[in-house]
Amino acid sequence: MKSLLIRLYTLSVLTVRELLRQNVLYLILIPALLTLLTLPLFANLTFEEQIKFMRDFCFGTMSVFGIFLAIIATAQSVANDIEQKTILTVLAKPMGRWEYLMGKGLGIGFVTFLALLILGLLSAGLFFLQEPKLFESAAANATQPLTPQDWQELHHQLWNPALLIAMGILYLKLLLVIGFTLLLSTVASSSLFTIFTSLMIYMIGHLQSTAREWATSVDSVSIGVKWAIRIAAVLLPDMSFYEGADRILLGTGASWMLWIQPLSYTLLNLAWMLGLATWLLESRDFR
Amino acid sequence: MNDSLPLQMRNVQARYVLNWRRKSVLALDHLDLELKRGEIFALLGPNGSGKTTTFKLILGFLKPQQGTILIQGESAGTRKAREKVGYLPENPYFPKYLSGREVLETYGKLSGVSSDLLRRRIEIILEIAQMGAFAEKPLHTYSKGMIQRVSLGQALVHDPQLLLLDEPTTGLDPQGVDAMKEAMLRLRGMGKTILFTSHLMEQVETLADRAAILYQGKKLVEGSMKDLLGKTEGATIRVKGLSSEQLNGVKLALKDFGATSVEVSPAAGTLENLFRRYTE
Amino acid sequence: MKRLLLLLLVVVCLLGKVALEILSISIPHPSELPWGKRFQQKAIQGVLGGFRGVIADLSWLNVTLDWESRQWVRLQENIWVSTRIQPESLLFWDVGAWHLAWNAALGEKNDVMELSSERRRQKEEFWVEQGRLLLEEGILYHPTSFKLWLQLGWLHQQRRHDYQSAYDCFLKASTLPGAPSYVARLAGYALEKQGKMPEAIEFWHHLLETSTRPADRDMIEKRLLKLEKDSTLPPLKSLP
Repeated sequence: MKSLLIRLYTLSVLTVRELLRQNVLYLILIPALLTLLTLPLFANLTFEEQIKFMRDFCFGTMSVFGIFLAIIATAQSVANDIEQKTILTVLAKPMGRWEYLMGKGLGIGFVTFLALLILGLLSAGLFFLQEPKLFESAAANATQPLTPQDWQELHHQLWNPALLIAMGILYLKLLLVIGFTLLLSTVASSSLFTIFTSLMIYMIGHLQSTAREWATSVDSVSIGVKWAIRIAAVLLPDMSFYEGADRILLGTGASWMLWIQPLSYTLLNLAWMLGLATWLLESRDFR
Repeated sequence: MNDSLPLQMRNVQARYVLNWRRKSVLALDHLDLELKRGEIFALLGPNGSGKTTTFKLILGFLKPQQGTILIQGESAGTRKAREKVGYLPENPYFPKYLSGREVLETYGKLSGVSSDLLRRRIEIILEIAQMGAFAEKPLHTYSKGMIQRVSLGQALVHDPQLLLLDEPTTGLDPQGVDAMKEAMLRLRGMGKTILFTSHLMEQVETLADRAAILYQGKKLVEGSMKDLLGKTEGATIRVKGLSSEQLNGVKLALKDFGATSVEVSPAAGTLENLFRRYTE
Repeated sequence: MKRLLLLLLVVVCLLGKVALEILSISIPHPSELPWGKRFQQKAIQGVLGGFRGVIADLSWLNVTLDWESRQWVRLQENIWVSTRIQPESLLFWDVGAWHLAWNAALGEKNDVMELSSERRRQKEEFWVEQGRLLLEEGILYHPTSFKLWLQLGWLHQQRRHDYQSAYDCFLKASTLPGAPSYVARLAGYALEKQGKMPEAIEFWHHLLETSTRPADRDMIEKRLLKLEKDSTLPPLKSLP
């Protein structure tokens, strides 16, 4: 067990070090940071609208750049190993192919977490800087002087701890994206194909639940189409499991339980994806 | 099958599938190969003869369509089998920001070697591979020969019985070749079994105990160097001090004596010897 | 054997994944929403991803600017964009309807550049209607939101003077989760405005029976007293 953990740790550290040296990480992170820094420019809104805008802006930046980072970093990592044949020297060692995949996944997951942390801290910094202006605007628009309770309520709206749950849910979503990108990269011949297909899966994943329901509940749909959708739905991830984050951002519902469903869904998906990726990697002939 | 033998390949056939219509090409055709403990075995052949395919089969990177491959009794490709094999690939690549020592540490950890043992082993490997002078420097400062030594080091780090070296001297200068040969001989002295590939016949002559020649996936011949070289028909006559006219005369005279084939070529190894003389 | 076990693990986890999807209690979507709109929403979510909210907000910025510059048609377009891209945001439907049924409608009513009073009236009605349609569509996305039903009630009462529809909306809003207690009272007031006093009194009595907050009971009692005093009908019940 100890040597297994050492192997996983060694592979993930190797992956992290390689990723931190890649330009793609900074090509994604720097625009993300710059995007966040433009936030204070959009200040001519009511308190409620500003809160919404700030949350959407910060979270949207984390989400979009996080997805790109997860997909591109994963696609390039395995593709590089195969192209440079590093994978052969690694897999020639007495270790399982699932350990190689898991080490890669852990390393990429860690770098993604770091990126989210950096963006999250910057967002918090921007919230902190904007706070006085927001409260000024709230006081100016109020019909009567604000009580200490009102101030507390405003403060809570801005610094809602539920936002951490939203970030957690976003991270789980990114882990899922890393999972299916890793799965694809075990069979793909080029990183470009992996990137493109992963983006497609990500987008189609948003339609999965609706398509499934439509196939089940609408009678006019042919049997062939129904079964095609059901079969596709088995393999495609259902991104609606991560919509809890949107609910938190919109203030339409926040509960610590909101993370339990996406967590279990992510773990189940990662398990079958890792299993299948291992099976495919073991079946793959390295020429 | 003898479980103590480092490598046993029986009736191994391998194919590469080319496209979705499952058209395939035969990479190895019923190969039988058996290595003895502590010997250096050379697998020779031109490009595309099946040498690298053989290595990949032993390492489990390819599945044979037929036949068995055992490494000290373990089926090729299993974790136990990989514990007994060290692999030096052709054109090895390692992360350039790592130092030589860090490469050995990394691959040692991946092989499951405990940290104390790994530390001691790395010192020995640095000595065998003559890496002591540059072990702490990053790989991007290394020459091809130095990287090759690092590659040999990572193949040894988990103390395997069998070493697979794929074209270990390709791209090396004569000093690098000598260093690699010396390392291989030392390893044989330590009881390791080495299977290496090469298409440079002259380098193999002085190194290998036994050899086999592959051609288009088939083993044409196998045996000890003595037997293989002894099988060569004809004789070599070395001549110095004759002009080209006189050499032609010698050629005609030999034909008059009944020789069916006479080859006259400049003395081999002159440039290599000249290079060594000026650089050592 | 090992590969078979691996495949078995994959299958088991896949089945678990499918089971979780079937049993999922993810965001409850309105069953009245047509399939086309549902697919449209999901496609927008997938394509725009995390920037969906930002794009909707940027469009909403324009709504504020259009309101200030009295560009009602552009205002409606930008409301449409915001609500299409992020229909989960109540703010867009709620405030959007306010912009259409109140600001745009009154803006047209008081437009000094329009000389015909009839045309001003028609334009006002048009924008009120747009506000109503927006709220009804928003309710499809938020069937359990009391705010939109409340806003629709206000629209019917204040802008269309349709007190029956206002009553229906206020009543519906009062039954939805999170509705403040005053919402139910608005239904009572709407009945009164229709002149349906017996029904109003009966409604207030029913409200009194179901209210638990002392402040609410106090207000309802005062209302009932006033109504019964003003009414020519004999009181249905005596107050305790």
